[in-house]
Amino acid sequence: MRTFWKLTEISMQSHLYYRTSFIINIISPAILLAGQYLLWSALYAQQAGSAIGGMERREMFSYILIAFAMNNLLGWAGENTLSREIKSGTIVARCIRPVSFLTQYMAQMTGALLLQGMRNLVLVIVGFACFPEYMKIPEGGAVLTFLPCFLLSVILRLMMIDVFSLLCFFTTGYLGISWTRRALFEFFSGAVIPVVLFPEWLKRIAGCTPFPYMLQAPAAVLLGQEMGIGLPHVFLLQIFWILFFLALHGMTYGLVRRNMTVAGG
Amino acid sequence: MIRIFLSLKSQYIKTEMEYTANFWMMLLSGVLTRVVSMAAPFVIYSNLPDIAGWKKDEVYLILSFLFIAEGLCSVLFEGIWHIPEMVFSGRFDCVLSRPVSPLYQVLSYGIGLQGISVFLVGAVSLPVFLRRLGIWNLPGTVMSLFLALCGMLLCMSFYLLCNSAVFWFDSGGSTSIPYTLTEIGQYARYPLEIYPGIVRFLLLVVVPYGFICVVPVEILRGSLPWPWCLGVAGASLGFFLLARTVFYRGIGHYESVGM
Repeated sequence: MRTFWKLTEISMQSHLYYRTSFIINIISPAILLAGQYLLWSALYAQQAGSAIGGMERREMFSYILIAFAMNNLLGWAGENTLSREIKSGTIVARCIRPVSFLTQYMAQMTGALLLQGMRNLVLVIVGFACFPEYMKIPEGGAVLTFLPCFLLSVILRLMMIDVFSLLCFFTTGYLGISWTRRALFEFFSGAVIPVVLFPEWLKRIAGCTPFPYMLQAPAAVLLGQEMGIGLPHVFLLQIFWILFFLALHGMTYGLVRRNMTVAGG
Repeated sequence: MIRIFLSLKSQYIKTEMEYTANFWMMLLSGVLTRVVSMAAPFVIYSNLPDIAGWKKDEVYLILSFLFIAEGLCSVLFEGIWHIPEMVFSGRFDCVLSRPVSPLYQVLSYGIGLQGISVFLVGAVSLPVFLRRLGIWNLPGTVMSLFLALCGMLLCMSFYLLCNSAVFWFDSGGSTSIPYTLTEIGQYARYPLEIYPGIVRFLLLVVVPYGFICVVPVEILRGSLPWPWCLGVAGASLGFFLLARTVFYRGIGHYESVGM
């Protein structure tokens, strides 16, 4: 565990090095979040009733904040760290270190996540504290159930990014893979539009993918929304998808290592 | 100059095609990301009858103009997105040492493969939705082409303006400013009248995505008179001159080999 936290610390330091960039990265999400609120406020203002697809305005406003904070845990640069290393060839350094590939990756991502997570937590607290009349405040019990669900969702997302990144060994580029992954994630996870607003057939398709368990499920748990399946079922599905990606990681990484020659390693 | 520009682009495509898997993955990602973009209004319209009196097909037309502008910019002017990395690594020194305009070199550098499929999605959906809205006639088509080209110039100028910010900010080879601003621009995928006045101003003047995709559709559906085409052309030209000035000012601020 000491190795893991040391690597996490190094990752955090590298993110703090460029101060202007760090500050801009704090402001940027707030601007984008404001845009989301403007869009949904406008859509709700058009409605004769107060609900869209069964979601009340206060519930939606809370969902936007929570979904945004979770989606924004990893930025574009953070998500593509591994892919970029594969493309540039610097990945070999990871392969020859006496620490497992997955541990190094998880530690590095945790470093990035912790910093961004702290910023997002402040954003969520400020949002709920400043606009309680516009928000549905989560109950204490829901927060306690949310925490393990959220933790599993983060691990699941990291595993998915890892497997997609490893595919770069076979394509020589990463942009296409990253854009595809991000587009699928943002739509089917409910980061852009809550999955509960999807038409029934689209909801069923989304339910067959791992994406809703990375964002929609923890957000729904926190807000006490109806998910169509019980909470133990949600946890089981999250664990199932984590194991699925872990198996894929093992297969892909094994294939990569068999075909990789590290000069001088 | 244009012949050399196009020749460079064709060489870039040939190079990229050598990496078959990546080439097709990029094309596929271009289609997929845009189809997913179109799914968002689909979901909204499945819960709402209309947005500020705008029909679903009109919103898809807005997206078509946006895809054409973004696709063409990506294919033709992808080099703009490499400015931050060039400045950080010091490779911008090479640009300055060559006896050719730095702006020309930046614009002609690289190619965005996904732009090909993004452009194709826009180019296919534009006539489809023009036809469905009953604007598929000679004046409508000519006006659409003109507005799409103006949109491309505006899009390119805006990207240049945003990426030139790297000359003033340390960023480790990547800055989130251009991405944030283009993300803000994505709110112009919906009719501007749903937003407060300040946001409409922002989406027309500061982040001019309104001129790229919403104003063209407003002209075509008749809610704005056709002389507004000149307004779109003027905005494109004005933004290009502004972006060019900021880019060259930025070069004056460049300190060579990293910042």
